[in-house]
Parts: sequence; C-alpha cells; structure tokens
Amino acid sequence: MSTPRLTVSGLAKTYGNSPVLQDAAFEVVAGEIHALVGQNGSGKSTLVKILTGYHGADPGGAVHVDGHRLTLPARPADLRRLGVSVVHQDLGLNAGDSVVDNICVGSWPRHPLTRLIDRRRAARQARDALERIGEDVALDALVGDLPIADQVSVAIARGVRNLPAGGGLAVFDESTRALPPDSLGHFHALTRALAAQGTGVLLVSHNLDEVLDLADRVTVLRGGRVVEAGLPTGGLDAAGLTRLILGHTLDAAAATARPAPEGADEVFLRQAGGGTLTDLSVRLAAGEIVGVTGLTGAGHEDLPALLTGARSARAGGELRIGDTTLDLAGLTPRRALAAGVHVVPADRGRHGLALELSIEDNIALARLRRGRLRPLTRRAHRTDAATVIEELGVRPPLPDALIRTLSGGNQQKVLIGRALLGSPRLLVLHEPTQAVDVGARRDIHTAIRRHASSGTPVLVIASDPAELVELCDRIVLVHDGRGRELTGGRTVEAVLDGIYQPATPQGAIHHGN
Amino acid sequence: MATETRSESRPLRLGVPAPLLRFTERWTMVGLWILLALVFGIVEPSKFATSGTFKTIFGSQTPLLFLAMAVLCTIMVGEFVDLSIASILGLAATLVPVLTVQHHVPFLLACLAALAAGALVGTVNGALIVRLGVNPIVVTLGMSTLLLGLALWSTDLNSVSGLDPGVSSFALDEILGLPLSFYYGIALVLVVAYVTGLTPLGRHMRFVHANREVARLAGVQVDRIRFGAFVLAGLLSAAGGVLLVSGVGGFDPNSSATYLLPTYAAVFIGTAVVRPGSFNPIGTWIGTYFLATGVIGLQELGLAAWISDVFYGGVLIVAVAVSTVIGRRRRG
Repeated sequence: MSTPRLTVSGLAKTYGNSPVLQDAAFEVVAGEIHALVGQNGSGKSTLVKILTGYHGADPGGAVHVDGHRLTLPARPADLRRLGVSVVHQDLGLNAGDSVVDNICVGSWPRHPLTRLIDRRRAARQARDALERIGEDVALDALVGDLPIADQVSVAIARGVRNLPAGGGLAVFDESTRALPPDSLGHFHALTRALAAQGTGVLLVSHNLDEVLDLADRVTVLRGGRVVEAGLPTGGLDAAGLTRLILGHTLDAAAATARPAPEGADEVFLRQAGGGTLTDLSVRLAAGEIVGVTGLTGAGHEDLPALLTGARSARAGGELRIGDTTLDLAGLTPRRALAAGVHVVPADRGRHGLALELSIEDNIALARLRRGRLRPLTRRAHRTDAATVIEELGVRPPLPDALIRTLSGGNQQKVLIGRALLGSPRLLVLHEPTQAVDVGARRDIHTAIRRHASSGTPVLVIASDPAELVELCDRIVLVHDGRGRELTGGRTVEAVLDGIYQPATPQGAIHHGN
Repeated sequence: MATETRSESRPLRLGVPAPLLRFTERWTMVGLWILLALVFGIVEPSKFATSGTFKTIFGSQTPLLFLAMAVLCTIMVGEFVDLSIASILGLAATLVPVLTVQHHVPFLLACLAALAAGALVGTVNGALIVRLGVNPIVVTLGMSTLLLGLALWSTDLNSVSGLDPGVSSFALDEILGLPLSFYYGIALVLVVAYVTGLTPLGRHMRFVHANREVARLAGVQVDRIRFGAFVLAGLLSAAGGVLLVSGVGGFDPNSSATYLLPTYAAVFIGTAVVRPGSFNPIGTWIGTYFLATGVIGLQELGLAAWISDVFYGGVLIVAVAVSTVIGRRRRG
C-alpha cells in the first residue's frame, strides 16, 4: 500500500490551560474523499486551522504529507511545496477581481529579473488549472459576474493549481456552506473527478448529506478528541452519523413534571422566519420550558437573533405575550426588552458581556433604561450584583471582579443572572451551558427551573440533546427552517432519531391558526 | 479561555498592601505635578514661584480644557480620533472677531453663531461617521483641513483682532485672583464627571465603548449616543474658541493646529490619574494643568519655544505607555 497523502498523529492544541484538541490521529489516502465532521467546539476547526497554517500546535504531534513531515506552524511556502491546497469557507473568492487574479493570488508567476507579475504566464497557469478540472471560464471576467457554478470551478481551480498532477492534498474547508443547492452537484462532480486523479481530498463539512453522499470515509471529532478515524461511510446513515457527532449521554434523567403555575402569560410564537429559519411556531404555557433544536444550519440558531430584534430586516412572523403582540419584522432590541423578552445569546464575549468591565457594571446594564441624567444609586447596583452572585453562585463573589477574569461558567452565570433580574415575560436562552463545566451547568439549570416554576415561559435553543431532555418540558425540532414538535418519549434517543428526519405534514404545527 | 477562577486583585508585589498600591497608582501623577512645581520653584524662585506664574498656569488653560472635554466625549464612546476639534476651535475663534469687527454683528450674536457653527460641524462629522460609517480618521482629518481653509478665507489669510476689550470681562474678571474662565473650566469638568460617572447615560457610554454589540442588544441606543458625542464635541470645541478669543481679543487661524497635540496629551495623561487605565474628566483636568506647569516652567528656565513641543510630545508618549502597562496589569 502506498504512503498516505496525509497522516496526522498525536496532534494537540491547548489555549491557556484548556485543551481544545487532544491526540488527534487519522489518515487520508490517495484518491479518497475523506470527511472531517464534528460539532462547533469539537476541535474540528482548530485541526483544520493547524493544517492550513493558521495555528501552531502543541509539541509532540506530527503532520506528514506524502511521507514528508510538515513543520508546524505550517508556512504557506511549505504547504505549496508539499502540495497542500485549501478551498476556504464559502469558496473564499474575491468578487471584485478577475478569474486570473483569483486563481493566482498568493503565488504569482514573476519575471525572473524584474520580479514583475508575468501576466501572460499567470493567464496560462489559470487556464491550465481550469483545464485540469475540465472547465472553461473566461479568464478576464470578474468573479462576481460569473454564475455560481463557474465560481465553484474557479475556487477549485485555484486549489488545484499548486497540486502536483494526480497527487497532493486538497482541503475543502466548509467550502459549500453558502452555495445554493443547484450548484452543489457541480461542486461534487468536480471533487469526485479530482479524487479520481489520485489527489487526496479532506472535506470539512457540516452538511451530513453531503458527507454521506460524497465521502468515502469519515473522521469524527467530539469534545476535542477523534472518536472515529476513517470510518467507511458505506454502512452509515445520517442518524448514525448524527449520533457519532453528538454522542450519547445516558445519565440524563427526564425532568420531573411540574404543575403549571397560574396567572402568568401564555406565549405564542407564530410563523417566525428570517435567516435560514422559514417557518417556526411554538406555543408556551406559563412556566413551560420548551427546547428548540436541529442540525447545524437547520435554522434554529437564527431564532435568538430574531427574538432580540438584532436581525429584523428579513424577518417575519409575530410573537404574542399575553395581550402584547410583537411584529418580528419591525422588532428592535429596545422594543423586545420593553415587551419583556430577554435573550441570553450564545456568544458571551461578542453579544452578551463587556469583558473589560466588572460583574457589577455588567449586571447594572439590566437596569439602565430609566432616567438618563438622574444620578444612579450605587446601592441598587450593589444589591443587584449581590442578588445575581448569590442566586447563581458566581465565583469569585466579588462585584468588582472584571468579567474576563472569570471562568466561562461564571461568565455565563452573570449573563443569565442579569436576564433573570429583568423579570422577563419570556426568557430565551441560546446554548445556556455551552463551554460550561458540570457544576456551573447544574447551578444554571436550577436557576432556570426556579424561574420557570414562578411562571416565566422559557425557550431554550440548544444542540445538546441531553441538555434538552434534562431541562425541557417539550422539544421542537427544526429541519430545513421548519419546526415540528417531538412526539413520543422525551429521551436522548428520540431527539437523535427525530433531529434528522424532515418535517412531515402531520407532525408540523406551523399551519396552526 | 481560562478555566480556573482568578481573583481580581493581583498577587501583591514587594509586600506592599493592596490599598496603598491602589492609592499610589491613582495619585502618582499628582505627586509628580507637585514635585515638578517644587523643582521649578527651587531652581528659579524669582521667576517661577510668583503669583504671576500661578495666574498664567491656571488662567490660560481653559480653551485647552474645553477641547480636552470634547475629545473625552468621543473617546468615552469608543471613537478614538476626532482630529477636527482644534480646527473647530480655530473657526469659532475666527468667526467671532470677523463677525463683530468686520461685519458689525453684536458680540453675543457672533458668539452664538460660532457655537452653532461648531455644533453644525459636529453634526456633519456624526452623520458621516455614525450614519454612513465613513472612517473617522479620514472624516475628521479632512474636516480639520477644510475648516482651517474656511477660517483663513474669512480673514483673507490674516490674523484678526480688535475685539472690544469690554467683552473680555466675562472671561477675564477675577475671583480670588483667578479669571472667571478658570471656574468655567472647573464647572465643565464637574458636569462631565457627573454625567459620565454617575448617570445612566454615562454607563451607557461606557458600554458603547466596551462592547457596542452588547450595548445594542441591551437596548442602548448606540448610534444616537455616538452621534450625540460628535455634536457635543463640536459644540464644546467652539465654546473653547469663543472663550479664547474673548480673552485675547483676536486670533490667527494658522495657530489652531497647535492646540491638537496638547489636548490629546492632557486626555491621555488623565488616564494615569483618579481611575488608572481609563479616560476620566478629573484626570484630564489634572493632566491639563500638569502640562501647563511643565511647559511654562521650562520656558521660564530660559529655554526657547521648541521646549513645549518636546515636552508635550514626550509626555504624551510616556503617559500612554504607562497607562497601557497599568491597564494590562489590572486586566491580568
């Protein structure tokens, strides 16, 4: 058997003192399409970034290309010499430049003496690269003016240009994420032809259909570790692959049923759409905790932004809370908050907290909307901070500690505590325990349940089935932007089975009313 | 991301108790200021340690202080460069004498016109930067040059003077030996300190600075606050210009650019006092008079005018370096 195109062994990466990738090992052989899959946070993007030279790695790991060791952090010149090329996210093309410029960027052919760009040789190289994948595109056209299918060809031609004929390794890093479905076939055909010539293809993709359809073998990452290396896709179906990606957590006991509290508002989210979400309706009784989940890209991740009014432009649908009706299309953060919708975003550092300010300052943000020029009472802020610290068990319990000095779990406690402080009429939590340790997770779940039992309806958007089963009274599955209720048992197995199946008319609830 | 929890106060260095360390961090600059004054007083007692020098230092800095508060308004909402402020001051200081002396407009009306011009320039800056998203360096640098040109045009490239000395009384009348304008400066600093330190608006500004997206999602009207900061910066700069020209009686538009660097120097020195590592008005007030003490003292030692450039530039770099280091240490 010949040397593998790519051999990764013992590869690890640590940020600060948290390992994000540990002891990763797998191989890509000549002529195969090898998929790399995993959740956000599984270490997949870190691994790809090490391969493409964006990150270094911890000492000890090794990457070999065609048997030659790649020095880490990888330098562009080495990658080119060893025959590694990358097609980046969403093709990575610059719409305002010509086809030749897009194909040759990064390594222009130059005149040996003057070092000027040799335009004629560049054009020839671009044409050769396109010919190798059997495509013909006008070389001086602007990429932005080309149909999508031709843009795909240009991106792949760029990847192919520096590969030795019939060899090398091409890395497709979420290249097809934003492609319209009708140009995927073209992309797949080109990829297959490339592999058939002997090139090794590493396909990084969230789209499991694509992985199963295109890849020969698949390597699965979960929690920073390789859980399956080079598993043939022949015997796999989407549900099986989903199970490998998400993993099992069997100790998750179903949440105990709670009596519905009386007197609080019912919430009805009707035909919400925007982003990839097209049609989702959810009804929440007072004090009910409802989970919303789906595969990455299904559309449920767009829901928090719609409900905060952060992305109002293309949104549709309405949200009824008691007697108040909010039009999602015209929603702004101020209006959402005024109606009592408090959203805890998934990205703490970017959307939730000011890292350079203290716990107290961040909590004070919940109470700053009245009396712009009247002086603030320091005592009220102290009380608020003490309440949050006490209720969620924030460590260290120091109101003046800067947010960035806290652990992820404690940052999340501050963020959720602040939302609870605003007495929400609807609480929306996006990945409430992402990158949070077990203890903090328990504290957060306890606080959420306590508020629900006092009447607050809670919507939890999360990807971990175990968390949903543990926390939620009901679960809504989103597929292709549409929602449907999970019927039958509320177990991890049922969520995993249901998460992949397309919505069926009888299961759909989006036609209600 | 760090997984373990760290306490905010760093391990103590050299066995110094934390409160003392914090006190030192906060007030070192004031100590340096006093030290500087003492050194000048000892070296050149006959010139420096006089009431005249005292008056010069504390009586002449108000226009600079107004500019510094203008810069502070924009910096506190995360807009680091408003390069147009010095030219707005220049335009206002030119408009007042041009209107009163050459066009016989009543003094009060001329002052209002100058203030309106400043606010208008701030509005244009804000509209371009906040509403259209144009790069603030380009906008304010361009605006700075454009306004200088307009000011020169209005005076036919000359300096203008001849304001009725009577109008200076509202700036120069003395209370307890110091001109009124000194007290205007203090009043302004106190108002800015109140608004930024104690009111919801001030907290909103801090969040807009710290993380615009977090502020927006929390319902803060981020763009309105940023826009307002530019308008206010224009207005305050113009007010500085009005005070300046009423005290002196005339103005040379070409000299407006010399106000830019000292302003930024004062604001950045301010980050080393009171609340180390962050921009604050009281610190800026101290920074302004620290700079004035240094420059005037050095000039009285007999050094030529170049010394002020060296001093302003040097102090700016040192102050920013120190506050960067302090800030990093506090953040851990």
